[in-house]
Parts: sequence; C-alpha cells; structure tokens
Amino acid sequence: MADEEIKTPIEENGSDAFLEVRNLCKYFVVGKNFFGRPNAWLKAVDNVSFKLQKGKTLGIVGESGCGKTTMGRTILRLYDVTKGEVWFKGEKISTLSNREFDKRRPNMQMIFQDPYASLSPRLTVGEIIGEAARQHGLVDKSGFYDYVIKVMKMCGLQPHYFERYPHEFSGGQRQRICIARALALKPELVICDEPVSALDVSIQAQIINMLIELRKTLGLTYVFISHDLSVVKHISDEVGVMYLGSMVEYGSKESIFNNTLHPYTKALFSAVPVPNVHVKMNRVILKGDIPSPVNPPSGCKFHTRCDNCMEICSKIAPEYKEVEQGHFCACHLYNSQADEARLWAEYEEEQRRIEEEKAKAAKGKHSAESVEEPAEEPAVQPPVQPADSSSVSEQ
Amino acid sequence: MADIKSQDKKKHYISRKESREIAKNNSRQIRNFEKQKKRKIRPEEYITEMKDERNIVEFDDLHTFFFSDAGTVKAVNGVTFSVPAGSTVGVVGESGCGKSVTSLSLMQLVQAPSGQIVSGSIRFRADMFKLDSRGNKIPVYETEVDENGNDILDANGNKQYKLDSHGKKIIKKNELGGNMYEMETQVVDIAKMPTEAMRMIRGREISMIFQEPMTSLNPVFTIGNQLDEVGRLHIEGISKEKVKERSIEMLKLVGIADPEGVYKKFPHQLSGGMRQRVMIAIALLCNPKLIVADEPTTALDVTIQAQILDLLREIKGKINGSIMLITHDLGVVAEMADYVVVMYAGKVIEMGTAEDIFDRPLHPYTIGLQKSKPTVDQVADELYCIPGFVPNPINMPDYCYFRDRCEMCTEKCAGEYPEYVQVTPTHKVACYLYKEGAKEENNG
Repeated sequence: MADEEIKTPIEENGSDAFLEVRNLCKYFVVGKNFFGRPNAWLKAVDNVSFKLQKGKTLGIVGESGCGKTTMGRTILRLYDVTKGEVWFKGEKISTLSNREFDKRRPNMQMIFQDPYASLSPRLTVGEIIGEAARQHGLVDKSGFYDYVIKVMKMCGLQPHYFERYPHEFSGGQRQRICIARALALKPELVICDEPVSALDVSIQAQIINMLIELRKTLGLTYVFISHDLSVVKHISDEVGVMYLGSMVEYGSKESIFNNTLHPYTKALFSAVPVPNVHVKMNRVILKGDIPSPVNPPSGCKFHTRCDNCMEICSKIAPEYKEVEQGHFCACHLYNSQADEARLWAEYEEEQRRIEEEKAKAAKGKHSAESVEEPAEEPAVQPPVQPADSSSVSEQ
Repeated sequence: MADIKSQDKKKHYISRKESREIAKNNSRQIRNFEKQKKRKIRPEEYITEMKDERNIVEFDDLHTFFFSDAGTVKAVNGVTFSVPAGSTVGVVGESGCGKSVTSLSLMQLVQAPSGQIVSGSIRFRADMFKLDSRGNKIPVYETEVDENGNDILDANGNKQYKLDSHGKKIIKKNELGGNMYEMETQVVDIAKMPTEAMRMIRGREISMIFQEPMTSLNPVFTIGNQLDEVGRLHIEGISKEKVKERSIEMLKLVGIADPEGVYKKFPHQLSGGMRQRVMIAIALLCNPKLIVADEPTTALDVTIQAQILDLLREIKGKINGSIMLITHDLGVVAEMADYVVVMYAGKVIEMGTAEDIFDRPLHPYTIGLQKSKPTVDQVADELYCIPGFVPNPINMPDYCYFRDRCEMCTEKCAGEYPEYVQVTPTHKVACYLYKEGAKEENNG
C-alpha cells in the first residue's frame, strides 16, 4: 500500500474508504540547537497507514508509549499532522483550514481515557453533554433539555442526573457521561481512547456492551485504542498492532489472532494472562523495556527485544507490506530472497553515499592541511542466504 | 424537575444535624482507639496461638473501619482467611471491596486516625527477638570452636568467648552481616501489637510491594540510598560496605542487568518495569517470610507484567517464602495463586484452591466476574455483565450484599447475611444456594 502512494501521489480523489490514513507522521520537537532550530524529534507516530470501512471497528493495541493515543488525536487534528494524509469520507481533512475543519468536527468525536480527568468539575452533566451540540447549532434553546435527555437515556443515564455534577458519579457512570458527550453530536466516527481501562471488570462489560449496542443502532465507526488485547478482540473487526510509533502488523481480527506473523505480536499475545488454571502457556517473555522513541534502535525498531533477530534486522528497517490478503506486517522474516537482496543493495548504496559525504566534508575541512585518510571500513557484506532460508523454514 | 431534584437531595445528602452527630461520634470512637494504642502493651497481651500450625498468617474476623464525615465506612467487615506457609494466596475483588485495606491492616499501615482496626485478629508467626528481664535483646557471642564446629568448653563447662582488643566479647554475625541475637518463634496478633514491636516485623518479616512504583519511590534519593535505608534500619550492626553489597546483590537478584549503575541512579531515570523491580528488591532485602504484593502489575504493560510475574514466581522459590497477591485481574490470579480469596464489599464471599475457584465457581458474583471478562481464546457475541453497582459502603444492607445484583437469589436471601458453607474440604462460599457438601436442591 505504501508503495502505491509513492508511485501515484497526484491521485487526488484517492480515498474510497470511510477513513483512510496514509503515511501519517507526528513528530514532537524535543531539542533545539543554538539558533532555535529543532534538531531532535520524538517520532510518536511514524508512517502509519490504514483504511477503514464504514461501520467497522479498528482496534489499535500496543504497549504504553507506542503512540496509540497520539495517532488517535492526530487523526482528529487535536495535534497538527507533521507529514502524511488523513482522508475522511473521500475528503482530505489533514490540510483543511481550521475554520473548514471545525464544520466537520461533529462528524468525528473522541472518548477520552480517564473519566476522572476529562469532565469539567464545574459544569452539570446536562451542560457537559449538550454544550458542544449547542455550539455546533445542532439544537436550539427550546429543544435543548429534551435533546440532552434523549442522549442521556440512550447511554443509560437517568434523566434526573441532568442537574448533577461529575463528582457525584462513579467511574462507570462518568464514562457513560463521556460517551454521551461524544454521541450528542451525532458523529459517524468515534475514536475511543482506552475507554474501559480505568474501570472495574464488571463495569467494563457494561460499557463494552453499550458501545457495541450503539454501534449497531447508530451505525458508528470506531477506532478503539486499548492495551487490553482481550477487549480489542471482543470489539474489533480489524486490528492494528503498534510498536514505537510504527504499525508492525495490521489485518482482520481473525488473521491477526489465528495467524500471528510479527514476533512482537506473538510476544504480546502470549503475555496476556488467561483466567484458567489449566492453561499453562509457553510464554515468549520479552527481554528489557521498550526503547526510548527519541532515540529508537537502528533498523527494525523491535530487534533489541526480538528472539528471531537476524543480521539484517539491526541494519535495515523492514518494509510494511502485504504478506497475505489484507494482512500487513513489517518484518524481515517474511522477505522473499529477491526482496532481501534488493534491501541489502539499497543499504549498501546508502552506506556508500554516507561515506562519500563524510569524505567530502572531511576534505573541505582539512583542505588546507590536505591530509586525506583512506575511507574506513567498507560497507558491510550482505550475509549469505542461509539466514533467510532458515527463517523461512521456521514458518 | 424541581420535584425530582428535591427527592434526589433527600436521598443523597445529609443534613447539618446528622453531620454534626456523625462528627461527634467519630471523634469519640477515634479517641478511644488512639488511647488504646498509646497505653503500654505488654508482650503477653499480643502473643497467641495459631489455629493451624501450617499457616503463616491467619486473619480472623477482621474489622477495619474508616470513620469518615459521611458515616462509618466498613472497608473490611469480618474477613477470615489464612495464608499457608510457602504458598501464594490471591485476593481478588473490584476496587473498593477492601482487599487493599486488608493488606494494610496486616502491615498496621491503615491511615490513622480515621482508619482503625476495630476488632478481630491477625495472627502471624514471627521470629521475634528473645528479651531478657530488662527488655533488652540477648546477643550471641563468638566462641572458640574446634574443627568440627563444636564449642570448646573450659574446665567448668563454660563456653570460651573470643575477645576483641578491648577485652570485650564479639557479637556473632548472621548471614546478612548483622548482629546475631537469640531468636524465638512466636505467634503474634498484629491487630493488638504496639507500633514499636510492629517495627520489628514490618520490613523484616513481612514486606510489601506497592501498587504504583512511580509514587512509592522517593524522587529525591538515589535507588541505592533507598535500598540501603532498609538494610540500615532492619539489620542491626551491619557495616556500610555490607549494606551496599547486599543492595547490589538484591538488584542483581531481581534481574537488573547493570546493578552498580542503577544503584547510583534516581527513580525518574528508570522505566516503570525497572522501578517495580527496584520495589521488589527493597521488599526482599531482609529475607522476609511473607511478601504482600498489592497490585504489583496493574500500572505496567502486559509484556512487562509477564516479566514481573515470572520474577515473583522465581523469587518465591529462592527465598522460600509466601506471597499474598492482591489484584483485580483474574488472569494474574489464575497464573500465580495456589489459593484464591474472592472479596466483595468488605467480606470474603468465596475461597478455595485456584482449581476450585476457576473450575467450579459457586458464588453468583464469582461466576459473573469470570463471565464478564472477555478472553483472547474465546469468542462471545455479547459479554455477560453483572447488573447494577457495588452498594454504597456507608449504609450496607442487612441482607446479602450481592442480593440486589444477583440473578439467582431466592426468598432466603432477604434474611440476614449468609453463613459460610463448606462445600468441599477446601472450598467455602457464603451463599444460600449451597449447603454442606453439595449444592442445595432448591427452587432457586
């Protein structure tokens, strides 16, 4: 998919999907040089692409700090897009002016992570839910009360909560208020950012059931961000797995859970404790912690923790490509021999270029002294094929 | 609407008069308890006997209440269970069910003065210092030994002590490098113990791993400093070098790759998983017999959680101790625990071995809890959900606390709170649906 876009960048009417994200990047500046120019970036979201059809649910999973939340917020332009495109209903929303985009905001809403922090303590529940609807002109003054009550009933809130304040509610009720606030604008796309992770198990089930019910009745499309794999499996049609800002695997729920490809996804799935005493899983325990996104490892970002790490992994970043029908994965394990040879060739080319540049710079610097050192260490030799063939046979 | 509002107010707010009454009552109660704590408590008062010799801790009808401005919160309301030596006991329940307060009561760390252990006992088998008639510890001195390790006796049959340059007897060192004192195994009741004596147990015999490694480490001290502090406090007579040695050894034990480097770092320089490892290292420093792990993995990612659980299991084997694991995650319990205790609204509603609870859950709440959790290996169209909410902890009903949310309740449930029913020798449940030995054949 990524390749296609690079070949045909002119294609303006490109998106037939309900929501399409192409090579989305969001970098945060973390360091500036003497003149105030940024010189260090935190690549929170790096080259993420996916397509989502109407009425489907995309589950995004990953460890904390992998950029799930940033991705959700960037799609809604709560953060500025650094690079890449977001298409919503055939329209490129990532380059719209703010004023234009505001008109489309009611169509896409977000449910935030922490129901304790995301509700204003000074507004009544009715005001919280109805405020945005009034702002966007969805409802006039006379119909306001009835409209809000209707939305509250839909989300399982009693009408007499209208006059109460958020502190009077438990976590589950607060999350219902958050959902009602998002749904009051009659959105088509809802981005749920960890909507149930702050809740107890029995309340979790209530909220998940309600989200599924609302999806059916209102025809909503969800992007469901969570670190809980079992919840994502329950609610999603498609699943994307993120690691350090990149999508490492993406596909339909069945293909991801039944035919896991990426080693990180395998480790992630095996780490989930199962509430059954007889299941003793042979667990893949990852070594170490998630590396810092400011200074990610070279090559494949996962190679520092990967069990199947090969020589190519630490040097060349894997391509995000379709391994099976509709199942994308970024891993060198699924390279064909031709692919691998091509990657090595590109890598050598790159290395040679860097060397040359270095030499040139050195030459310019020391031109007066005219001392030239011979080019150091020749480009790394590509390994012979066995490494690749062994990995293929593992599969 | 105004009508609804006024009704609402009546239900949810307390009048000024009521509030004054509550405050008065609270201050009286709290004064009584604090007075009890301040008076001199002799050891005879808190030394008791275990019910079952195999247990390391026995909770017996423990009540811990919080005297709040809105009324008395019965956070722990008659909890009875025990931790057998060398096993892992998982305590599960939703937030607010009293599982953390149970563990804090065991450590005598309930937030006083509003929180008080009101009644009941917590019996713990501790290695206590033997005291002489003046209340001092009795040290063990180095003696002259022959090659077999037996004491060489002089003509009168007395031991010959080694003397230092000042002519004083040298105190023997124990395996941690501290002074060795004569010890005796005693069963103590922690609920009645004075704070001074509790300090001998806390950290040395029972240690705790807290929920959030971010907030429980002090940001202004280095990791090494915080580790050493435990050693200096609890291992008497240990030298500075030995403390550092021990700290680094512990960091190595919990799987930190560069213990010397981490020793010098500050908490903010470590990731969440590393901080939790440091917390575990602190807990293990004095070779405790019981580790209380209060939600040790809740704040961590699944991959890190797997690492930490693996570590806890490994360490339990190494130090030959017991673990009391408090969590809300049924998956974690299934993986770690030998015995499971399910709590709801301050009471234990079901307990048994892990097989009992996960294969044959009896209480409707336990069944509901297990059904409401989506699992990775099963597919369900709709999740089961337990209707309603946890009842308000201030005004608990007289009948079974779960009755209002229960789908299997019978006429009997309207009566008083159900007694425990021993269904099998290991499996106990508090529900009217069951009777001794089997499920009751009832119309319910």
